[in-house]
This record gives sequence, structure tokens and C-alpha cells, in this order.
Amino acid sequence: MLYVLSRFGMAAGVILGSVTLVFLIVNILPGDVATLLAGDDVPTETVNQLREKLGLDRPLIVQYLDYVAGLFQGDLGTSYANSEPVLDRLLDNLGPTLALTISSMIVAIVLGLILGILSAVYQNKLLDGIIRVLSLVGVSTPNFWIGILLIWIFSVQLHLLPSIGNGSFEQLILPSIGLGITGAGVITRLIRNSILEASNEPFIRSLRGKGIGHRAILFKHILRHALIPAVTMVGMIFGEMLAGSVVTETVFSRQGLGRLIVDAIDQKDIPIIQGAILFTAAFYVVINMLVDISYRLIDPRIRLNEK
Amino acid sequence: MRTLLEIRNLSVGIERGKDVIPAVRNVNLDIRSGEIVCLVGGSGSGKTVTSLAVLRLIDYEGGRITGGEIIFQEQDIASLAQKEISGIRGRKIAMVTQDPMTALNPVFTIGNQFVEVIRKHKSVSRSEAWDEAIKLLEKVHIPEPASRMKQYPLELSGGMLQRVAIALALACQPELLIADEPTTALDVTIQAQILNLLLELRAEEGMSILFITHHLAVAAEIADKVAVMHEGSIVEQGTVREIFAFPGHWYTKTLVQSKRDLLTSSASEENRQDDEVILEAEGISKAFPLKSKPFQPKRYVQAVDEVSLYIRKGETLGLVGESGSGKSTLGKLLVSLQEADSGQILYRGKDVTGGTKREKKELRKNTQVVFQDTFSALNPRWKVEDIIGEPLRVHTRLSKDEIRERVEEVLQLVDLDPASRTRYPHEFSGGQRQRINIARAIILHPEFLLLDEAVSALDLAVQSKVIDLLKKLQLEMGLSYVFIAHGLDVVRDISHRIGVMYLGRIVEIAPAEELFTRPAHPYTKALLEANPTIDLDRKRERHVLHGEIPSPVNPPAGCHFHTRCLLATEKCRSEAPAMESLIGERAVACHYPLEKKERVELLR
Ligand SMILES: Nc1ncnc2c1ncn2[C@@H]1O[C@H](COP(=O)(O)OP(=O)(O)OP(=O)(O)O)[C@@H](O)[C@H]1O
Ligand code: SF4
Ligand SMILES: [Mg+2]
Repeated sequence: MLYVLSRFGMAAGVILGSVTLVFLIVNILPGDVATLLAGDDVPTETVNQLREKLGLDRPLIVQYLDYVAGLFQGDLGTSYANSEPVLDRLLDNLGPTLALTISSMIVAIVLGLILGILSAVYQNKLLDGIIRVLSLVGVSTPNFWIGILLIWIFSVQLHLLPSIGNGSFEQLILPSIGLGITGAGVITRLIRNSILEASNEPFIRSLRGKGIGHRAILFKHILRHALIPAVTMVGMIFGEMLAGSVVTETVFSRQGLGRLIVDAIDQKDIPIIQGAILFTAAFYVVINMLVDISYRLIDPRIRLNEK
Repeated sequence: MRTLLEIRNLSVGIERGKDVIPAVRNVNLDIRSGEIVCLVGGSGSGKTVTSLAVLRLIDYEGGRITGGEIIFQEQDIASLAQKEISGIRGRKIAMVTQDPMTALNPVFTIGNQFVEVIRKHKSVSRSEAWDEAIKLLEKVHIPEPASRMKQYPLELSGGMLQRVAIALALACQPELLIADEPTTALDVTIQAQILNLLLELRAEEGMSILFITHHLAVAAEIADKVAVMHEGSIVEQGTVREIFAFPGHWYTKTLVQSKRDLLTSSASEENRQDDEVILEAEGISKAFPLKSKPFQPKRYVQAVDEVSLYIRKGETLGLVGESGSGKSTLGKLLVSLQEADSGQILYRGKDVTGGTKREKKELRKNTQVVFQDTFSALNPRWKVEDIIGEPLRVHTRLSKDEIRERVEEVLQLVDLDPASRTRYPHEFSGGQRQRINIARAIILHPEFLLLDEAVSALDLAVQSKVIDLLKKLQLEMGLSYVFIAHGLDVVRDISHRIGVMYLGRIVEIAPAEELFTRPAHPYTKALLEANPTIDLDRKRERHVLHGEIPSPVNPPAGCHFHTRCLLATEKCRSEAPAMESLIGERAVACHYPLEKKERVELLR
């Protein structure tokens, strides 16, 4: 229990840290925001008015504290571009991104598990060879490239699936595969290796000696061991996916946090950038917290070692 | 008695790439019901492969039966399909493996593992299986079995886990139990408990046991019949008396002889050259902090507690005691590999506990260490000459040629071919690798060597050769040793004096022969009694030390040993006995040392 609490404390710390970092980066970058927003050829007066209106004339520390105080009341500021509350814009875009990353995660885990198990069971046979080549390709090919390839095959050539937009389930399929395939490759390789490693544990021999069947040994005993490193990996892969969603959403012209960030950067819409990064950081932290906690459930040794 | 298992001309091959390397050749062995048969032999002799073949587990480990039959209850196991064996495995023939720490799946509770096995073989409900498991744990004398069921393997000691593993094997009342080195990883005291348990279970359940060991004395203790294995074949078999009293085959003869040599010889006082004290420790202590939760007081393991001792030039001081008693820590303190929390260490009369860097380096040069693991101490990518010569490069400014000369010299000294200096560690056998380690340790002509389980991983025959080498080097170079080992016989063989440790303290220290023939501390006596022997005429009424070594985090008050001592009184429970000198060089920490005969009688 103490552990879970301390994890929450740490998570909050990480989020606050990333908020601060982003705030600093955005504000320290060269270029005056008000000037940039107002555009060229505008009288200094107008620029000053704009600066005052946005509160950018106040000292940095005041702006920062104001921002943080706002956060605690659920106020992430208003967008420079269209004066909408940042929170609303973010929430509008959250759904599609969540759908994308979760379904990509499912693709990665399901594909990774199945292929990893097959690869280990047929170790050094033809199937294992094919899977190992495929997962190597998956790991080393950039996301957007896979995305473009998928669009070309399934939309342009075969006319099977829609390539762009969001809304329907079909529109989710190609982007999830595109985004999930790197993770699938990583998980496949990891599961294969850890299954093979766990098969050599001495207790596997004694289980066989007790007459426990092949299947039970593989799915209950070996897999449980193999999952331990895989679960840690899931947390890391999730981070990659959040980063990858920026590109994937652009390639597939999908709405989402990634696209929002890209557009906001174009328009120098700083509150949106800050809010989106805050959201992403919070996500990442929460997922990794879940990973850490479930890790301890799977492997009692970790809990016991702390006694 | 009817024959339960009949192995006829069994041959087993191990697949290496395209080749099949023969690992077991034409083995014939009968086990009758209720009989304990010991398969004895050195490492790599094919004992485990034979046992895995009996259960056909060898199929999963890259092996294959290439000939012969394994008749069990009118069925030939060798020719059954894997599917058909599942009725036998775990149900009629069960197995216990060597290292209890790795024999159970660490991520499931003990109870879950029992339930899985029981329900695999019997159609009972989960709670019925649970109750049955508790009964099994009671049968192997596990205290508080119900609460153990909810624990994970990690939470139990090695001895406890081996009991659990045995209970698990008994789940379906098997007719044959295959036990592969079931006590090798355990202390002698715990080993004696497990051997007693197996004998007891045999009497109660009438099952047969195929017991595999490399340890002759263990075989002598437990077996009805012994089969000696060497290079894949059984070279001799017979009753215990036949084998040990009249060994026929040359290999058996060397085995029995090297064990007898161990028992009769012990480094006598004459071949110690000097009275000069090299190393002295005065009240040294070392505690390790335990990981603790925030806001709780730090807790410590008192690994070494106020130990004083001295070692003379050319002398071997042996250290014995159960696992975790602090032997290795004490050894490391003596050679400054770890720093003592308090107390003094005097090297040639000079305090080295707070020395400067240069003094420390000088000390490192004069005190060297050799550990158990023959492999990991040697960098696999270095040639032998680089490994052995490294200390010279660090501590001296010799030229390449001079270094080579010294390396060849020292290789000769440890009885290795000087030409082998250009080879790599993996090209040597375990015994030879330990010689390389020793060569590396002595190349700087140190005065003091710490040998921590240095021969423990070696087969008996190899072990005695390395011991001979160590004795020879001691005589030639005037070396002093601190020799740590689990095997009491080996320690007796090489040591002039022996210190017995219990929970961080030395409880008795005495010349080797005297300690073995007239132990003064009850713990020493218990250790000696637990030590198995091949001396069949000395079958004694054994008093097995009960219980296990208590936790060093919270050792019992007063005399640490009082929880297991038969002589303990009120005084022992409250007052720690100080080290007191007896006659000669003997000293003991006990309120009621066994110097008087009445006390010895009391213990019986
Ligand atoms: N580096 C360390 N950190 C924490 N605890 C330690 C450390 N080294 C030893 N201990 C603890 O100190 C105690 C004594 O350990 P030590 O290794 O000296 O025993 P030993 O007699 O050599 O045992 P064995 O026969 O198993 O080798 C043990 O309880 C051990 O767990
Ligand atoms: S002091 Fe007491 S408890 Fe300790 S060993 Fe001696 S008799 Fe036993
Ligand atoms: Mg040790």
C-alpha cells in the first residue's frame, strides 16, 4: 500500500516536472510570441496590446505560478488561435488518439505474443526463421514508412480499406497496424527469448518429472516467466507509440493529439502545445505506473525482496 | 523382494548438432521394491543422464535412448511414447532434484504448486488437494505447514525447500523415488536431517529410492546397494559393504582410497615451520545493513561478531560452520577485501585497518584469494599467461620476457605444462582451472592465501590432488592459509587448526586432530556427528541436530546456540559465554564445555 502511495507521489512529481520543463523551453526559445502572433507589419502598439491581453508582459515566474495554479483548477488556459479553452480542444482530440494508441497496443501485444510463442515453440525451424526476419523488419522500419506502404497496398492497390480520416472502425485498422507493428516486433523478439530462457530453468525439468503436461508447462509456468520482462517493455512501447502517433496521425490525416500538436506548433499556439504535452506526459506516467504495479503482481519475488 | 525396475543394456546419446555423443553405455541396474540404490560417480559420469532416461525426460534435453530396455512393472519405458509415460511420471516414479532453490517455480505459492500436482493425478477438489498437501508437509516434518502453503519458495530456507520438494514428490505415493544429489546443496546438519527423513519415508511407505550422489560417505550412510559409475558405464556394483570394504575396480579403489586418506591424514604440527604470527585479528566485527522500509529503524545482519584469532607462518587455519555463519565474511575481513566495522587486524604486528593506499596495495600483494568458482574468476578471452601474469603487470615492472619466465615457473609449480600458457581457460578441466587460479594467486610470492571453498566444486579424486598441491606449496613457500569449506573431512585434511563458527562468532578453535577427536563445544560435536562417513564399523547412534540456524538479523540472546543445544540452561539463555582457553591451543565459548566425561554422556 505504502508502495502504491509512493508511486502516486512520484507520478505527480514527474508530471509537474514535465510541465515546468515545457513551460521553460517554450518561453526561453528565441522570438517574441506576441510579435510572432501579430504577424509582420503591425504597429508596435498593437503588438503591445496583444502582449498585455495575453498576460505576456508579466514576469516569467508570475506567468508560471499562474499557469500552475490554473492547472489545479482544471484550467489549462485558452488557445491563442481561436480563444477556445485548451482543455476542451484537448478533450475533443483525446478520443481518437486514445483509440489509436490502444488499438495499436492491442495489435502489438496480440501479434507479439502469438508470434513470439510460435517462434519459440518452433525454435530453429522454418517458421521461426520467417518470424524472426519479419520482426527484425518490423523493429527497424520507421512507422511512417510502414504507414505509407499499408496505404499503398490496401487502399490504393486493393481498395480494401480506407486510408484517411477517422470515425469508423475500418479507418482505424491501417493506422493501428502501422503504429503497432514496431511494438509487435519488439515484443515478439522479447517473448521468444524469454520463453527459451525460462524453458531452461531447472524447475521446468522437475515439473515434467511430476507428470505436468506440455501445455500447462508452456502456458502456465513458462509464459508467466516470459511475461515479466515483456510487461516492462509494454510501458516503454507505449511511450514510443505516443511519440509515433504524431507522425501516424499526419500520414493517415487523422484527428488527434498528435495532429493538434503539429498544428499548434505551426500557429505558435503555446497554450495548446503545453496542454498537449501535459496530457501526453500524464498518460505516459499513468501507464508506467500501472506497469510497475502489475509487474509486482506477476512476480512475487519483487514484493518479497523488499521485506 | 520383487524387482521393481530393471535397466538392461541401456545406452543414451546426447545430440550435438548432427552427431550423437554416447553419454551412457550398456548400463545394467536392478532396483527391488523397498531398496535404496546409490549411483555414485564423478561429475560428467552419466548419473543424471541415466536417471533422466528412466523417466524419459532425457528426450526434452537433447538426448535419446539409443539401446536397451527400462522395464518397470512389465512395461518397457524406453519404447513407450511420451503420451503413455504420463501415467507413470509423477505417479509411480517421482523425482527430487539437486538444488531445492531452483526446483520450484518462484512465482507460485507452495500451496498452488501442490494443488496443481495433486489435481493432475487425482480427481479431487481444490480444497481437498489443499488439505492433502498439508498432510504431506506434516509427513516431512515442516513446522506450521498451513502457513507455509501460502508462502513463496523464496521465503523458505534450502533445507525446508528440499523437504517441500520431497513432499511434492510423495504426492501420489510413488513406488520409486529418484533423488538426484538431493543433499549436495545443503549443510551437513541439514543433509543429515534429509537423509534421516528419506530412511524414515522408505520404512513408512515401502518405496524404493534411486539415490544419486558424488559423495561416497553419503552413499555409505543411506544405500543398500551401490553402483559406481565412471565415464558412462557402471564399473562396479554391490552391497555397501562389498564396495567400501573390498573395492574391485580401479576407479572404485581410487575413490575409496582418497576418501580414506582424507580421514587418516591431517596436517600435523611437525610440518609447520615457524612460530612467527603473520596475521592477527582482535575483536573484529562486521554488520551489513538490510534493505528496510522508509520510517523504520535500520536492521543489520551481524555477519561477524567480535572475532579474535591468529595465524602463524606456514600454518593453515580451517573455518567450518553452517551456511551463513560468517566464514566468507571473516575471510574477506582478514585480507581487507572488506573493511571491519570495529576491531583491529594486525599484519606482522602492524595495524592495517586504517592503512594508507600504499600500505593497502602492499597488503594486497602479500595476501591473495582463491574462490570456489573456477570459471568466472578467469577472463575467458585471455590466454592463461595473461591471466597468471596480470598481478605481475600490476605490481611489478618486469619486462615481457621476465613475466613469461615467471609464468612458466609458476605453472610448473602447480603441476601444469608450461607450454599450456598460450591456451584459453575453457580448454582446461575444472581441476586444472583451479590450478590456474592458484598459480595466479601465488605468482607474487604472497605470504597468506584465503581459500574460500576453493576445492568444493571439484570431484573427490581431483580435490585430493589439489589439496596435495596446496600442502606442497605451503611447505616450499612457507605460505599461510585460511581454508574455508563445507566438507569437514577436507578441512581436517589440510588444516593445522580449525575454527568453528556459529552466527558470526567463533565458538571453538583447536588443533585439527583434537577438535575432531575430542570436540569441546556442543555445536562442534553436533557438526561432527552430522558428517557422513564411509567407516561402516563406526555406525553410531546419531544425534541429529534439530532445527536450522536462526536468523542472523535477530540472533538468540545469550549463547546463540541455546535454541538447538541439548545442554542449554537458564544461564545459557541470558548470558553469552566468553571465549576461554582450555589446555594447549584450545579455546571454547561455552558455559559447559564437553571436556568432562559426564557431560558427554549427558548428550547421548
Ligand atoms: N555483502 C553483503 N551484504 C549483505 N549481507 C551480507 C553480505 N555478505 C554476507 N552477508 C550476510 O552475512 C551473513 C554471513 O555471510 P557469509 O557469506 O560470511 O557466510 P558463510 O559462512 O560464508 O556462508 P556459506 O557457507 O553459505 O558460504 C549472512 O547472513 C549473509 O546473508
Ligand atoms: S553455552 Fe550453553 S547453550 Fe551454549 S553451547 Fe554451551 S551449553 Fe549449549
Ligand atoms: Mg561462504
